Amino acid sequence: MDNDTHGTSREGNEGHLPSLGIEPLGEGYDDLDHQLDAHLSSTSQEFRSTPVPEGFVDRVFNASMDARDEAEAPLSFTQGLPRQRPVALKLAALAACLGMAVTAAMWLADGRSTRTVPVPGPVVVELETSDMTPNADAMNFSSEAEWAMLASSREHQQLERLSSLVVTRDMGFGDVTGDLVSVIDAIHDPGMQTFDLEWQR
Amino acid sequence: MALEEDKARLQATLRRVAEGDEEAWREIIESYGPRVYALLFSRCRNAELAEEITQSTFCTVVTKIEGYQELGKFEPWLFRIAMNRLRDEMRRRGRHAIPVSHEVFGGGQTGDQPEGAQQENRDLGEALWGAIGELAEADQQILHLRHVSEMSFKQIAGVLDQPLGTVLARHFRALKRLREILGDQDGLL
Repeated sequence: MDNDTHGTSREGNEGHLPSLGIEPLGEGYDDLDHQLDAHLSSTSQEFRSTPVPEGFVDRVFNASMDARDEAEAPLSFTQGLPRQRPVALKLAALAACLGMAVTAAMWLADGRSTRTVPVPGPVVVELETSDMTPNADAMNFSSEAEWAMLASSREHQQLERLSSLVVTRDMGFGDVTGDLVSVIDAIHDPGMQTFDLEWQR
Repeated sequence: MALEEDKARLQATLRRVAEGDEEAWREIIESYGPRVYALLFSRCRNAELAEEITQSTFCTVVTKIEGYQELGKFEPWLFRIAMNRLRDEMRRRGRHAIPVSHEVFGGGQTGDQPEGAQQENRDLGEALWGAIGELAEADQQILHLRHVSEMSFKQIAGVLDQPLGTVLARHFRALKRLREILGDQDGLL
């Protein structure tokens, strides 16, 4: 089927208010088609002459101007956002926070050990020494004798009071990791706004 | 040539609109608003809905016109937005074919015609446009754009974003189908 025979495909008429009327049918249509098309054109006059409601142009104009103004205005929520800071500054702030967190964790650990382990007085380790200089043979104890001597000894109880200090000294980074994670979470939690508050001062 | 003048005038007006000239925009609304409204009203037969969608259409156009360059596509663009908006709204409301009533074909008659001729024209309009409501949606759109908006087939192809040949073929078949529907109604053709 040759489509060009069904309509004239009138060129132009893309301008203002076409006034050329309805494009005539091309070839390929019979008389009844032309008659039907003419009836459609004549009766469609009712639609074409449909009066617009009173104030129609003003309402459309005002609504479209409002829409244009809204589209041009910056989004309201962007005004409340903090201004963008350089990445280097953010990293420095993060490092500072981490440093403070580690320092605080260490200070807390130290404070806890000194508070929870009261030391009544200076620890004095008393060693009983004999006036006699032991000879080399006397220092050669059997292993059974050493165990027996250790088991009967009470001097190690005083040393046990220092055990918490030893624990603190041996505390590693992994022991405070949980606290650091909490601090970092707080920094990145938008609800808490920790980071922004810190830097908005 | 009048057409060339029209095109040049439209181009100049749209350029002024893009530069923020509100009077130019009002000219566009005065020129095209009633045509868009008439097309929408012929499709939905609801004055409030037709005006609402006309407003929505022009609101969309004005927010996008800043970078627009007129290359003869303004009118198809405008009417395509309107048709799509109406289609979406009709789907949302679950409405399809709308019966033609006396409100459409009875109220606009002038007193120039005798009462008998007016009644005859009214009956013919109701029968024809009622039958068009039984056609496929795309065929209805072609007939409305052709007869209500007085668009050329080329412009209709632009509005529907279809090849010209497709539009011509659909129109041809739509007339044949319309004749079948009206076949039982004596005296119409």
